[in-house]
Amino acid sequence: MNARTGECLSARGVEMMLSSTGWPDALPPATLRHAEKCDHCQGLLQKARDEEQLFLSEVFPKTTDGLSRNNQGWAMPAWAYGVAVTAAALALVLHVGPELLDDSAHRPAQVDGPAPGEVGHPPKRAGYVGIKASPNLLLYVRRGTSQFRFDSGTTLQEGDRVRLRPIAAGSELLLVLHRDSEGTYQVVYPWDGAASAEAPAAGDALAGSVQLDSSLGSECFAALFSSAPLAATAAERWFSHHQEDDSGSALLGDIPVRYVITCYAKETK
Amino acid sequence: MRPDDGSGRKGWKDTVEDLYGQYGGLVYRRCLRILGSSEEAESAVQEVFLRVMKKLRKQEAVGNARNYLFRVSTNYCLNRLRNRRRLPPFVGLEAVPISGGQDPETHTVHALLLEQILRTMRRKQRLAVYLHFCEGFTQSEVASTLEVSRQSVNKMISRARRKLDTAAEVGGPKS
Repeated sequence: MNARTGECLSARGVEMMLSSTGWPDALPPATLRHAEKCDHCQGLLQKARDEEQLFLSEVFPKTTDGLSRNNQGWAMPAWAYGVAVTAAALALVLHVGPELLDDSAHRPAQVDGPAPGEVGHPPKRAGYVGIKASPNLLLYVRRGTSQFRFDSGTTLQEGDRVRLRPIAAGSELLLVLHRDSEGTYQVVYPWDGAASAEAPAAGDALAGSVQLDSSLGSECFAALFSSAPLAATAAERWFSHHQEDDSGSALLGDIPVRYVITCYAKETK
Repeated sequence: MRPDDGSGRKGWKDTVEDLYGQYGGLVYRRCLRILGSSEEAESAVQEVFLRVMKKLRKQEAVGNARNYLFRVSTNYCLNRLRNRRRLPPFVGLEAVPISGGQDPETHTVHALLLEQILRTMRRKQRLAVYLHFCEGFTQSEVASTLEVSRQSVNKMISRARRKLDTAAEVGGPKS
């Protein structure tokens, strides 16, 4: 059913490997020895490290303020809640009141986004906080029953399934292309799309996976992050001039783009 | 009250930011694993820490900090799934076979039965059963996490296994 054997690390074992201090017990030496050699365990550890990084770089800054506010809230005396409720009610009346008297407030609001059939900016997500960091494209590979994170230089095989996890790092739109060894391009995100689409939420992998076919040679994924819609045809032209791992910024037409190109060699099983 | 985390770092009474920075990643990974979505995990992490803070404010003992957070976050996420009538992620590839040599169909039936049984259990037993059957914890690991004896865990697991066998004999999961 999965690649985990009886000796493999449990979720708790993974946590103990990440931070060995502060636990009431220790991992058995046999488990430690096994984890060093086991691809499955190494994959779990790498995934946990990635998630820790994701937490510290994206989740923590976004959520810590809210938590602090809640924490301070417990120390508030009871009367302060009354004041807060009154202030909130007053603010609501002042904010909503004029709109109730103005019939224009009932007209349909302008939609913040593209018209049907057009490519345009998607509406901003509520509470979205842009993160200043480098975008990235992480690859996770399932081979048979084992899974591992792709690292530069790893050779992939026919039949491997590759899942992609883009780190948008504040960019709103994303276009992901795949180029196989025969030079055929495929838009992977949005699947078979003609232009970039809203980047997935931080930490989310793209839906589905790419199964590698039997053609051999070098293949690449390119993730292009932008704030303006990017046509797939223009991205393909640009991608055709890039044959190796690379990342940085570029101007496609007049659209500033941040990109990550990840290439791998494919061999037979 | 102040747990010994053995790292020489600051303890529970420090600021929320310190606590959150120190253990937030662990709780986040737990929530992400069980709930399967980063957005849900983000909100769950905050909920878990709010509960922890509430408990700490009441000066209640929590024992080992990491174990405690591991338990609280797992319980919180299981409750969240239960309340939304969603299956936990063990119905699928992440599940560990309940007994060796099962075909996928039998395995799925067992997973569904397990899910039904989990709904009826008390918190501690449910956690033990979930960690053992769904996440593949050894009984020793379950005992350490729950801070109970290995025999207690053995009893809880055996009882669940008997329920599972009985339910399977009666005729599979009921929707």
